[in-house]
Amino acid sequence: MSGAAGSTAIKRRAAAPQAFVLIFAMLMPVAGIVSLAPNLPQFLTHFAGIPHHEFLVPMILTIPALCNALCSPFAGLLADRVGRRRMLVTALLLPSRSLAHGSHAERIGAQTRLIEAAPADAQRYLDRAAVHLDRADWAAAIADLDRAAEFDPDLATRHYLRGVLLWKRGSSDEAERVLNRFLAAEPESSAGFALRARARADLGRPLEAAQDFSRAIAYQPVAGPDLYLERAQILSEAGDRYLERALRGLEDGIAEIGPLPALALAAVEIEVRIGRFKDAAQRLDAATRSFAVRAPWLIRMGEILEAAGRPVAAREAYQSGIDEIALLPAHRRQLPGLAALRLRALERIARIEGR
Amino acid sequence: MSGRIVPVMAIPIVKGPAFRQSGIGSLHLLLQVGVLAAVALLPALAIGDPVLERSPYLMAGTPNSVVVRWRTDIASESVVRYGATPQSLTNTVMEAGPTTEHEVEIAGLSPNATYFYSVGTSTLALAGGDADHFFKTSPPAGTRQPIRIWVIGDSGQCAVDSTGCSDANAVKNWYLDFVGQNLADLWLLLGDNAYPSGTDIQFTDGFFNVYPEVMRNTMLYPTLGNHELGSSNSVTQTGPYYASYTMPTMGEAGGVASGTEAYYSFDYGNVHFISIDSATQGINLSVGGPMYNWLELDLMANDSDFTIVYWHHPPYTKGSHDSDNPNEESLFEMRERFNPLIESWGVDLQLTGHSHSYERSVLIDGHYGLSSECGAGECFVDGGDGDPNSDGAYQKATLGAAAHEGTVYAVVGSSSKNSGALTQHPVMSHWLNYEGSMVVDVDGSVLDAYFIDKDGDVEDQFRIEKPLPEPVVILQLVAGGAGLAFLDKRRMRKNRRPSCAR
Repeated sequence: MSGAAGSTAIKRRAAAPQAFVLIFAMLMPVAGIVSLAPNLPQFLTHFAGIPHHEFLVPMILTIPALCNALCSPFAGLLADRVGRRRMLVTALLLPSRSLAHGSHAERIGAQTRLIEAAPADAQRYLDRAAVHLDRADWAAAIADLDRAAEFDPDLATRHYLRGVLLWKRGSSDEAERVLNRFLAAEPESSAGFALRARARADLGRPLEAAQDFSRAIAYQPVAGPDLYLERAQILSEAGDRYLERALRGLEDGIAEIGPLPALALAAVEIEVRIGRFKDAAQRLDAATRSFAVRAPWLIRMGEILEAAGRPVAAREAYQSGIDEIALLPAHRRQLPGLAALRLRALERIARIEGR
Repeated sequence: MSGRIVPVMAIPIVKGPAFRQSGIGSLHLLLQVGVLAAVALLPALAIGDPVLERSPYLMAGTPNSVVVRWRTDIASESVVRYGATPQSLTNTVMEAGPTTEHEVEIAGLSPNATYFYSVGTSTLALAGGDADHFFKTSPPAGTRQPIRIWVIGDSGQCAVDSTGCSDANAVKNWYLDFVGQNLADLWLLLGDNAYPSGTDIQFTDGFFNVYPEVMRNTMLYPTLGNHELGSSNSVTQTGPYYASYTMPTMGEAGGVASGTEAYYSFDYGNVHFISIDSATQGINLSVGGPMYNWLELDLMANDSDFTIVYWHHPPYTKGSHDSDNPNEESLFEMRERFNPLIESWGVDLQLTGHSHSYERSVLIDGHYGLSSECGAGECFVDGGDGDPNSDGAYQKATLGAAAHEGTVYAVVGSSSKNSGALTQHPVMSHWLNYEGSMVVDVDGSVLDAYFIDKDGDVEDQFRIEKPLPEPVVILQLVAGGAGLAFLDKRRMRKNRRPSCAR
């Protein structure tokens, strides 16, 4: 083929090194695609919940190969126009930019560089807004959220982030409004409902807040105790007529997670407010049986018995608590929490005895 | 284009349009067809034996159980074999359901015992079965014996760049050099272990691929950092952070059941550990909130000789974050709300990350405001450096949790990088912008801590010393009779590790 390529062919002939480079370079995109293949089963498992995933997931192999085939002529044209070396070097450098982590300024700088590389990508403004939010730089965060909205008005996450920002800043009414928009787009977001619940609680609308907490719990795969406790607290603060509902919510939590002391002790306090002292005492005893230090609970039992109109039994419980504290080592007795409890029990006994 | 295939060796180096006239076009076309055909066939060929994607790691240890986890590329059954020696893995625990996230609890173990193990399927061992794969069950709560803890913070830079990766590995290697054969029993992660946003692949690259030789032996206890929050959510307990770890949430390892992996506690020997979620998104940090109330219950029930609390955001720092900056809300909130609580219930050591530096306080108490409020040492219980070879150890009057006897606060946030302009916070005894990690040794009534940098130098050392336990009278049954033995000062210290292995 010597010289058959015409006048543009240079005189130097290719040899083994050039052949190796050529074949190696041509194999790289092939290897890039092939290396995805062993991960296919894992991708299939990961996206199992997505409709048509059996068809869509293998496309990660097919589409790059198709792109390779379809784009090659255009890459050739581009190479002819700008030069092969320039195109290859540019292509190599483009993906090498990484997001460094460092101080706040460094993080902002890194995000800013990403934005400069793709100034119309709304997600990148959201990412930078999250960094500003982390440092409570409200004005900068709002500016980035606004920019994100310009480029993608439908991006629901921006409403959530704005909700976080507004709620943290104390503007619960505005937070609620943007969270309404977020939840309209993401109607099963547990985090969204939990945040709106807190905003509504701040606005003095406990029933709606409790309803949001219930949704937040319902949309959680694994519920933790915090949302159950916050819901119960809001309902019990809403008035006595909601105490039964608060209690049922805590029992749901106990059934779901297990007999956590935090849930059980919250239930005890609600039983006391309802006036079911016997039930409260039973719950307290069950919840604290495993505690090595029983004094705080013995004293609380005394308070429940006193409220139930049983001063003799109450005095006995107070005294048991005091005696147990006396048996503790000196450094434990002097812990402020336990010392205050002992003092409280002594005052109650004095009151019962009319001193 | 002629259409004939030209021998590769004969292809001239061409420029511009001549390229299209050469035979290379035919060759390229042939390769493209080959690629498409190979791609079409590959999914069918991809199924085979599972391959480890995350090496085995150990979590949620108790005196009688441990959770072994690992990840494979394809779903398979989960089998752990274990026994007293690597050659006698005679016990098997199996989870039949195919999964890629393997999580096997081994129960019915003896306390304070070493077991060798392997992980894999019923027909294939993927890792272990050798002298390098073993775990040690916890001693019963209250047991006084040497305990070693490794502490790293903000270690996830390996997911971002090669420099961070090199530094993280150097920190790990010098830790291994420091401890020699006496590996840590426990490993505390202070958050930000997967940069920049805690995705699954960042956890693999930034954490699991960096420490395989540590996590196969040492029980792992994480706390959530702000970068993990990029992909995980504490409200829903979902995302890569929660999917990767198993924490003791029901009091199974001691402490009061929290019911959530966002915050939890456990006992190991005579030390009580508490992990708190300071990362704010979703967790209510208010006084009287669920986490605060749980912490108070947990501290009230705690009667360990030492108490160590760890969370991500430092209450005192002048590194890449500034605890005097009102915009650093989490730092303020934790200092103002949680520090009074932990000090009133006698916490000895508080560990954090977040600032990419090492900062370690003197023994302090009651400092909940700006740094200027302790500018002249008003909050110092002991303003010395705590180094037994220098100013002397911090002496505390009580063995156990006693209120307001002083707490040491340490920021260990440089386990894969350092950054920011570090200055001295007035409470700090040592401050250093250099990569490293901390080793804590607890032995009876003495706690020793060392900061080992990425060059292997011990940059800081301090000791908290408490009174020795009251002599315990033990009825000692011996062949042919019985006798009384006293555990005294000398015997309590006999098994102490050397203060510095290097």
